[in-house]
Amino acid sequence: MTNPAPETAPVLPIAGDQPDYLHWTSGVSSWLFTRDHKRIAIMFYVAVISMLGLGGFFALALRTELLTPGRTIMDATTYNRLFTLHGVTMVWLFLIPSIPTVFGNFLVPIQIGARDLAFPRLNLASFYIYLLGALVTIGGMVAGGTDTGWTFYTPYSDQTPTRLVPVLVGIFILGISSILTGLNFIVTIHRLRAPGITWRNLPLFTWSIYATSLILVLATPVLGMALGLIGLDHGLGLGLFDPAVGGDPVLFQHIFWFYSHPAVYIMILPAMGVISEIVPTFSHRRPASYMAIVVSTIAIAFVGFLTWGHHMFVAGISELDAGFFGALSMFVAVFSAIKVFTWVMTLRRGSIRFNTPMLYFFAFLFLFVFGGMTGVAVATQSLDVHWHDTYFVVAHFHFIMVGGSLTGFLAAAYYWFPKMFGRMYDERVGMVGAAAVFVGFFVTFMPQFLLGNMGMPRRYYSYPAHFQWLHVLSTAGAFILGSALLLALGNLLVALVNGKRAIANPWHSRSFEWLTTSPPPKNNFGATPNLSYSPYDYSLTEEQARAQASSR
Amino acid sequence: MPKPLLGEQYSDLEQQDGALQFGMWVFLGSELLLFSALFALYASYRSMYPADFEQAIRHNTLVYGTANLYLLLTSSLCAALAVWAMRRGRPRLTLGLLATTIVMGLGFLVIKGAEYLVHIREGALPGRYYHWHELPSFGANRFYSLYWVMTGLHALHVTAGLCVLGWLSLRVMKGAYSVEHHAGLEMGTLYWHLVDIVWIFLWPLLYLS
Amino acid sequence: MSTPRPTPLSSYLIVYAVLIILATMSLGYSLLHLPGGLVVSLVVASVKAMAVLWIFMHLREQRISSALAMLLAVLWIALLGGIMVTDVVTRRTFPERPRPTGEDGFYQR
Repeated sequence: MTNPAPETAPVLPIAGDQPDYLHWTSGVSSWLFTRDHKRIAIMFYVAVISMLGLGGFFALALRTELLTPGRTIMDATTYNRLFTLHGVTMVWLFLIPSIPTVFGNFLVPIQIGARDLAFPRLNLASFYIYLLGALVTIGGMVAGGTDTGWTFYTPYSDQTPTRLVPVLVGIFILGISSILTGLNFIVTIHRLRAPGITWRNLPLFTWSIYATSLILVLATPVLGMALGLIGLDHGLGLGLFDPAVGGDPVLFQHIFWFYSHPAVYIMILPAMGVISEIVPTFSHRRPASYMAIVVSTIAIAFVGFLTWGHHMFVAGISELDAGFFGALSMFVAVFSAIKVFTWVMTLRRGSIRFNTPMLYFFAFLFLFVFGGMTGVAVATQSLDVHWHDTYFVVAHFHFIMVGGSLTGFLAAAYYWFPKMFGRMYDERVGMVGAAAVFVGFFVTFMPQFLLGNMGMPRRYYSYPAHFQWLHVLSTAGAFILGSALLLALGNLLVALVNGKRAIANPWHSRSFEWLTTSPPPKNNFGATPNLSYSPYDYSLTEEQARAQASSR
Repeated sequence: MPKPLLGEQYSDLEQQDGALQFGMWVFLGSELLLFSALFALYASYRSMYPADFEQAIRHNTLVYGTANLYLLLTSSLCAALAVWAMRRGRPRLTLGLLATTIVMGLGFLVIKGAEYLVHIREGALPGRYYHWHELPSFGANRFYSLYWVMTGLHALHVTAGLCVLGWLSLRVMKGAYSVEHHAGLEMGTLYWHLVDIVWIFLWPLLYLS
Repeated sequence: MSTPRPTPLSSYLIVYAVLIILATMSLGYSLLHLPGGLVVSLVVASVKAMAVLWIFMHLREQRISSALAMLLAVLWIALLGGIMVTDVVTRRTFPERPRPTGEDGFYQR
């Protein structure tokens, strides 16, 4: 591979001169049965992007329907099914697996100087289990016409005439995939770190994947059980939550949110990890406080388990529990704020470069803070009574999930594109894409805050005519966002074929994954590197960092 | 004795065995959490209907449940001793102990099945199917609903554990494990012990007043 | 890493004896209908579980991280159960309890 860039340092001794992971073998079966974490990551990449496209398509259909107060393109039944499809697809098929299975899979072993994950076969199994789960879930929803929304609240889920069990089975299967992925990361990060890497210089992205994996392993089984019980109620008519035989539907909500609230942190923590890598790289400066980011990452993962009841303020939980959950929810905001301030402080006196990933960071910063602050608002009981189940909540969680997670995903896609595929993308198109994503997103969801505050309930098919202008605005935004995403991803697709060859470290980062060639060889490094320095130590020159990594 | 394969991501077998065992422990933790929702539901419904639960427990089939407890505790000992024997380099003893464990596990399922028949005859079925006229309360209904789901899930785990033990026996017969390296055997028996631990907690909750 | 010496045969047998004795004691306590039966039997069950974990499952030979996995799982079960029970016992519903049973002394179906 030729490398035209003048600043190229000689290829690392630790990188070796093996062929890269894309080329060391070829043929379809060398991909389908691969155990290489990088190839599995690429397969996940294709899968989750397809799911994003599908979920986005459903979203656009929904927004189109909402252009007019009455029927626009579909009837109410179809609409109910479609928002379930949108929610389930986006939550379980895109957001939950997105960053961990793609970028986590690709980068965690490289960042810790390992040759692969601890259990490569399990990793491949996890991919196929995901595919199976995706097929069963989507097939079940389309054929069965599930209309419960992604939360499956009983008693409606108990009585809905539509078919529910296939979807529940599908999500259960996806859960198995999640647990296996999380388990693999935990064991890998514990046991396969290269010499020199301790818990004090572990790259921040790896830290965030570690925290996410803890949540995956601890919370997902509870979801499995919640869905299993709903399945028994719906499929066999047991009535485990049916008040007519002494049951209590609120208990289902407890169990469901015990997973599904931490699931929000499964979505956002990896994005925060991506941001924590991008900010030091493009500011050319060590993070204002490494420890602050690490501690807040772990703290968010744990406090995230203590706040689930804020979804249930109006469901009839006790005042004591509601107070407890309301207060603890504020802690998440505190730890998120610590992160935000640390990132901003890192920018100070840094030599900042405005590449596409950095632009996504700024979008992330604004949207995440906005979404987070409205989160504090809806976690306040007295306010939640007004906003609960309105578009305000919808806008709030889309600011976190799309504004936070999806922006983080795109930032990662651009930041690590040269490393993953060995090519450079078009910077100008990338930046236009990032700006368009931001604008489209803002125009879509800002009106929804206003709608919610005016009393527009979520999941409704029709609405009063004086809400229409805001709905039209929101729909227009959705189409801008959709086109922007196509532009952003199309730019990467074009670069895949036409992009300039990337050098090993185009961003001049000190993070460990940039030590090896782009794309990395099959074993990530020629020889196990010695990574006893900080991945954010910009007092070292690139050559010094390389020399240190190659030293025995 | 064939040496186990070393994955290329590991530097030596010790690291590989350590990673495998740690992975198993994380998996067991996750597996325990599968039961967490049921334990939590049990606690909630019990505090909703304390007297009904007491009454329902007193009417439950204590003899079956207790026999099964002793059976599982003993089988757990056998499984532990199977690993001990392998460490001492006595694979035939390991095989015998594994077989004993399997027999006890099957015994557990037989007793469980007999117990289920008693409940079916009484009408102590879960949820809307419950029609035991001796105990017509909401609380008794909740108790037996949870009884069925909890023991049912546990019985599934027993079945899975038996499959694992059967597979381990085959591996031992093939001579796949050695004195130094038997991580697979260790991991498989860990699963069986977990099944035992779950029953250690289900027994007082479902049978002891 | 330094692993402790492998568990000797006597440990397994002692633990087994302890398990059987504890189970029998717990059974007796329950049959006598003494006060605090649930608490006592759960404490005994926890002791038994720890004995199984520590000796039968060789947790004593493992690194601390394996024990942490178990500890987290147990804490999480307590967390979910604890908060749900707090909700149920401090909740004020109207009417205070679910519907009364029907005329035949049986709940309505």
